[in-house]
Amino acid sequence: MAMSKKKILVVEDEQALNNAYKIILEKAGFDVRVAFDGEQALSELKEFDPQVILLDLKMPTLDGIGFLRKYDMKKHNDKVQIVVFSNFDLQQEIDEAYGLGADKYVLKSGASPDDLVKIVKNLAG
Amino acid sequence: MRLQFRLIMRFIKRLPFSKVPSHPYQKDVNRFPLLPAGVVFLTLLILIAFSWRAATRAVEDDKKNKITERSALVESSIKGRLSAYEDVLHAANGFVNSSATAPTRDQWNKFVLSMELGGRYPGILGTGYAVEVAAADIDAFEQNIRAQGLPKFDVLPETGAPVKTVAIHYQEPARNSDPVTGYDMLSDPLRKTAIEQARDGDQVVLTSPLTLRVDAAKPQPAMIMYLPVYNTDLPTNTVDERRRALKGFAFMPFRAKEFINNTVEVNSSDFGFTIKSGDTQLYSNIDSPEKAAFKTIESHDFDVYGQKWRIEYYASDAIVSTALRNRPNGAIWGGLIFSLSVASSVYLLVRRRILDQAYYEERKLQTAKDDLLSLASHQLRTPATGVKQYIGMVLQGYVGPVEEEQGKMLNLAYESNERQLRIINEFLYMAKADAGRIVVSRNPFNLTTLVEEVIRDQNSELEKAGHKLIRHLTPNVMIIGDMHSIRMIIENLVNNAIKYTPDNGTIHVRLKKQDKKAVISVKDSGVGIRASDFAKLFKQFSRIPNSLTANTTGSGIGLYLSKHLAKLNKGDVEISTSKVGRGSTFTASFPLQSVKNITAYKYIKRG
Repeated sequence: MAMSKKKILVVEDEQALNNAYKIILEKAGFDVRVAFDGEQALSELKEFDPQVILLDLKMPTLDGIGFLRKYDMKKHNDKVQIVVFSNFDLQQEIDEAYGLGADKYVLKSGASPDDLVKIVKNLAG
Repeated sequence: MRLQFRLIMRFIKRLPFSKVPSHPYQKDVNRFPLLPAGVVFLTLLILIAFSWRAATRAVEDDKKNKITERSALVESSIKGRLSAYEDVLHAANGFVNSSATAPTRDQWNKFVLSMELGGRYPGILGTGYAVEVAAADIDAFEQNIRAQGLPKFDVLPETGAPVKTVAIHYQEPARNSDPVTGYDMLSDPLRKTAIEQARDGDQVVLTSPLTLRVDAAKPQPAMIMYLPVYNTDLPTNTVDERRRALKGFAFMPFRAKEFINNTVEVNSSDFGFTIKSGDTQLYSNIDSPEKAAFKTIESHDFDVYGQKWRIEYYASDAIVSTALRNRPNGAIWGGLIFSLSVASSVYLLVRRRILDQAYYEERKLQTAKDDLLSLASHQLRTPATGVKQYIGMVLQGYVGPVEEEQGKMLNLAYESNERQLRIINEFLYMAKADAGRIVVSRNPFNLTTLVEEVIRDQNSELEKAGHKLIRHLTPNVMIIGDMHSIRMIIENLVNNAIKYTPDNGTIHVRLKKQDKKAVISVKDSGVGIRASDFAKLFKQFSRIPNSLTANTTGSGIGLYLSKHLAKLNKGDVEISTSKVGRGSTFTASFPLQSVKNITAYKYIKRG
C-alpha cells in the first residue's frame, strides 16, 4: 500500500511566491493546500490536517503572529510542525514566533527551491 | 570641597541601601539639575531659620515669664512679710494705747513674747518701744527706768539735743537685749529721718540701710521699721497735731540678710537676685561662680514704706525647661536632616524623571528605527525571493529541460540575485549593529572546528580561483563567544583572502594560542595594502582601490563589521602585516576559555 502523501499548508500572501512554493512542494510529492492570510489558513485547517505549516509573517487581515495566537495547538494534532517562513529577521520577531509555538524559523530569501524541499522533508518526517 | 563630596558619595555608595538598581540610561545622562533640589533645600533652610528664631524667641519669652513669676514671688513675699511686721507694730501700738500709762518693762516683754514671733517669723530681731523725752526731763526719766529693773539705764548718747527719742523697751523673741535700751535714736541721722517722717506722716516708715549697734563689730545692712504711737485722745490730722499727740514709737529692727533669707525662697540654682537701696547692697544670693555668670538681668524698683529698693534679677538659661531650651538646636538639626532628606528626595525624583524621560525618548527613537529596519529588510528581500524561487525552478527543470546557453545565462541571473540578497543581508546586519540590535551570546565552543568548517564551506570558491589553502590549526582551541558572529568574521577574512589574491595563489590559515588568546591569522599572497591605507580598512564603506576591486563582490563593510563583531566578542580584528605586491596578514583574536570566564556562561551582550 502506498504511503499517503504528507500534507503541507502554505500560508503566504504574495501570489507569486505562494504559487512557487505550491509548485515546488507538489513536485516533491506533497499534498499542498494554500492560504493567503491567517484567517484563510484557520478555515483551511478546519478540515485539512497537515504535517507541516509554512507560515509567512507579514500578511493582511490576520498576520502570522495573529495566526499563531489564534491557532490552538492542543486542539489540533500536536505533531503539526510550524515553520515560520519570513523575510523579517530581527531577534525579537524570531523570539516572538518561537514563543508562540513555532518550531522553526527560516529566512525566506535564503532558501532555494531545493532548500525548501529539504526543510519540509525533514519536518514532515 | 569636591574631594570631600566625592568621598562622601563613595561612602554612601558603599552603604547597603544605596545599591539602587541602575537605570539602563545611566551613562548617557550625566548632569542632573541640582536646581530643583537646591531651591527646595534653600526654601527649607529659610523655614528652618524662621523656626529657629521662633524657638529662640520662645526660650527668651519663657525665660522672661519665669523671671517675672519668680520676681513677683520674691516681691510679694517681701511685701507680705513686711506687712506682717507692720501688723506687729500696730499690735504694739494697740498695746501701748490700751493703758493710760506707759507699759512697764515686764509688761512689754510679756507682750512681745506672747506673740511668739520667733516661731512664726524666724529671723525677726526684736520689737521695741521708744518714747520722746525732753532734755530737761532726762534725769527723772532715767531714774524711773532704773527703778523698773534696769540699774544701768542711761540715755545715750549725750547730744545736747532738746528732744530725744529714747528706746525704753526692747524685747527679742528669745532673750533680753540691753544695749538697745537707753539709746537716743534721734542721735543717728538715718533713724532721725525715719522717725520724723513717721511722726509727721502718721505712717509706717522704714529707715535707709544702717548698721545696728549690736553689729558694730561686724557691720551688715539692717533697717528699722517705725510706727508712731499717738495719744488717742488728741487729733492727728495735721503735722502739728501729730507732733503734739506723739507718745512714742513702736519699732522693729531687722537685718536685711536674715530678713530675706527667712522670707524668700532663695535656694535656686538657676535664679538669683540682689537688692539694693541706693548704693547699699542689702542682699545678694549670687554666691557662687556659676551664679556670677548668670546673664539675664531684669530689675524692678520696689517701693517699701518710703524706701526705694532696686531688685535685680539674674537667671541662667536653666530656668527654662530643658525641652524648650533644646528646641532651637533641635529645630536646626532636625530641620537640617529633614531638608536634606527632602532635598535629596527631590533630587532623586528629578533625576529619575530625567532618566525616564531620556529613556522613553530613546525607546521611541529605537522603536522607530526598529520598525524601519524591520520593514526595510522585509521589503528589500521580498522581490529577490521571488526571483530566487522562479529562476531556481527553471534551472531545476521544473518547466522543461534547460539548454546549456540558457542555463549559463540563468545561472548568472541567479548569482546576481544572490549577490543582491547578500548585499541586503550585510547592510541590514550593519544597520542592526549600529542600532545596537545585535545580540551576542557567550558560550564555550571549539574554535578549531569552526575554522575547519568555514574553510570547508569555501572550498568551491577556492577551487574556482585555483588557490591553495594551507592550514596550521592548533587542535581543540576552546573559546567563549558567539559562534554565529565569529563564523561571520572568519568567513569575511578568508573570503577577502580569496578575493584579493590573484588566481592560483596561496592562502595560509593559522590558529594558535598566544597570551591567553586564540589568534587566527589569514595570510594571502595578494596585492597587499599600503601602510598609509591601514586605517581606512576598518572604516565603514571604505574601499581601497586596487586592481581587483572592480571584479569583486562585497560592499566594503566586511572589515568594519568584522571588527565590530569581534569587539562584541571581547576580541579584535587587525591587520598585522602587509607588503604591497606580497600579500597581507589579517588576524582575529578572541579570549581563550579559562577558569575565570567560564562563569560568564550564557551572558547576553547587546551591541
